[in-house]
Amino acid sequence: MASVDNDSDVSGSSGFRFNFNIGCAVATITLGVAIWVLTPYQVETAVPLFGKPASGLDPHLFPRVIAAVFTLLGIWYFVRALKMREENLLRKLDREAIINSLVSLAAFFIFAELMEIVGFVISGAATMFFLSTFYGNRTWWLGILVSLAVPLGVFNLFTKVLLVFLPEFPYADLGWL
Amino acid sequence: MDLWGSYLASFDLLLRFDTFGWMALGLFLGIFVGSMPGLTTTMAMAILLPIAFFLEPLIGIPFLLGVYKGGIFGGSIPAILVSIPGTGAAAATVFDGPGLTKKGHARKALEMSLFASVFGDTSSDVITIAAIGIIALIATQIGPPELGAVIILSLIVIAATSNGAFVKAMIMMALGLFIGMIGQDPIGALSRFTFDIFEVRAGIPLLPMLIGLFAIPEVLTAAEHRATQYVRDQLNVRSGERLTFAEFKSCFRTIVRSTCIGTVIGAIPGTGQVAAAFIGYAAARNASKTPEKFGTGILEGVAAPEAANNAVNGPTLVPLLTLGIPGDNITAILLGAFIAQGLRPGPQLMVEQGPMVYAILNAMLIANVMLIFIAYLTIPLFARVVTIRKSLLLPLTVCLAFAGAFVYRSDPTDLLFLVGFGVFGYFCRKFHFQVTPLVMAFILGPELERTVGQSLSIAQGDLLGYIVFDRPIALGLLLGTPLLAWWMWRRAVAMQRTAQSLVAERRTQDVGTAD
Repeated sequence: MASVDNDSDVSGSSGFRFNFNIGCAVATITLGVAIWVLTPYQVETAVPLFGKPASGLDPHLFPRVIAAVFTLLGIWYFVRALKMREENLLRKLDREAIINSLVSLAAFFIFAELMEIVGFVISGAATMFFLSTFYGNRTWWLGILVSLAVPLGVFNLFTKVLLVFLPEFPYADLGWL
Repeated sequence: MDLWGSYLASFDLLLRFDTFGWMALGLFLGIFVGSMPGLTTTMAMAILLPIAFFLEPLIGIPFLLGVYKGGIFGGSIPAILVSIPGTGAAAATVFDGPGLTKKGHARKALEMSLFASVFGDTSSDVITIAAIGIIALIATQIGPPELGAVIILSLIVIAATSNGAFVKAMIMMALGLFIGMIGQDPIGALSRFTFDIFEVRAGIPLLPMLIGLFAIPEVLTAAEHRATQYVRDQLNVRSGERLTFAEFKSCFRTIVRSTCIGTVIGAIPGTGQVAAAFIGYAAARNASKTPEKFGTGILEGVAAPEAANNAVNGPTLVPLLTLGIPGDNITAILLGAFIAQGLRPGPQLMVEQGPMVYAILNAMLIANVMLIFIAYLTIPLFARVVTIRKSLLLPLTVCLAFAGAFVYRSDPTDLLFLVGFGVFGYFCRKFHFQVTPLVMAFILGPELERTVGQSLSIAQGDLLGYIVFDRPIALGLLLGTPLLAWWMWRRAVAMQRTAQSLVAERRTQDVGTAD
């Protein structure tokens, strides 16, 4: 739903003030220009058959339209951003929130890397136990129980019921346990 | 096969125990997630989408519909019990629900929410079933130029009705079109913007993107502060007073009114349950002989938003099934489920697979009946779920999200896409960018390009002349797009103002009570 603040975002200004929206607008314009410049190098062209292109549509057309749209929207955004008064919620994060987010992200990346090495169940159980403890769970037995039960359940759901692949345990033959 | 024949044939496809079983599971999971403050139905659907992907279409899609319906109802449980809406759709239920709980009528309020939800949902589903065949027949008459025009119209309308500044929504839309362009072009299968990275040659994978954008930011936001529980109170509604038929009857006019409001709003792309709930509540209060009682804890104040937000469920599927255009995040995820199953919603789906479309719609009706039984019996259980520990629930969500993202292509790179899109979605929240236009554009972009390419071929290069002189409907749609977008933006702003004034009024009342 559109915000009521749409109007207030852009009104009530008292001169230029740098804000994150200006940065985003510059990034948008840059992206638009980059797409335009890269299009000839990054869009494959069809090999002509009997001297004629394979399809009537130039493969560069759509990327170029997107690049132009990006650039024009970026300019429009830049003009409006000069007067926008939206709050940068990233700046409102306190130390605890930043640490929690970064630790969570690190755990996600480690989970992604570990999954192939030690299998889904072990990596999932380790990640779940670490995150649940980090997020404040101090009932150890419950943390361990949930951390083991959920990855095992999910693993069996996908591999045994839905018959799709997930990186197995090192002990694949444990099956349903 | 004619429409009636398709409708009757749908029962042969649908009446299976496994469909019912998975749908019941979906409802149960949906109510569970909906009743957890801080977890949304969209997130639940995103992380459960991979399960639906590996089931047959007529099991997987009803399963997701179960999650959807269960989630929308489940959101009212914490709204009534602890004044925290479980989902955005229940935001207006906090006006009167907690008041009823304070009076000792929590059970009554939950039952009113359930019956109003089911009534609103079922009525709108029946209207949807009656209307969809005719709309689909009209849709089959349109060609590539009209379909392209409808897609452009839809994208701009979705951007216009998104939360926040219009220009930012448009930029997200352009970004979605660009991300959708990476991989191969849909006409000549030529490689684009792959930067010689093998993993993106087939394009950006849909499922990891959806799960990343909708689930990971929820987890990161919820993890910002390490409270072990969302709610600490012990909640017990087992012994509460039950809803009587006379009480339900006394709210019947309100429920019918809200159902009509929800049905109309549901058919408009991008508007959704939240707007319907607030409008339904405001309309009930305006029509009441005792409007001053609203906000103090009355059953009508629960029935109105709940009937309205659930009545949105059916009509939102009309543009999806007839034109292949999702109206909101939830229908975008459903479209993802269709695409993953190899089905392409659009004008031809009704012609080629009419019985299946009707089977999906009938599954919605059956899900409503099942919801009554499942929710009625499990209300005391889910009232306790509200107090479940966040510290256990968030890692569980992460585990499911990672498994779901991986199984789509069994490619470890998809996990990096998942985390990457998750971080991007998190930053978007912090910088007031909505991801809905991006998802819509990502999904609809290739179809838009295909229709433009086909139109150019038909027009033999002179697209403008062809549209102006030969395709009046496409011309009308393209010319009407800015006007319609502007009108809908104004409507959305008006709805938002109504919602804000109701919230402000409620705060004033709370301050007055505290004094």
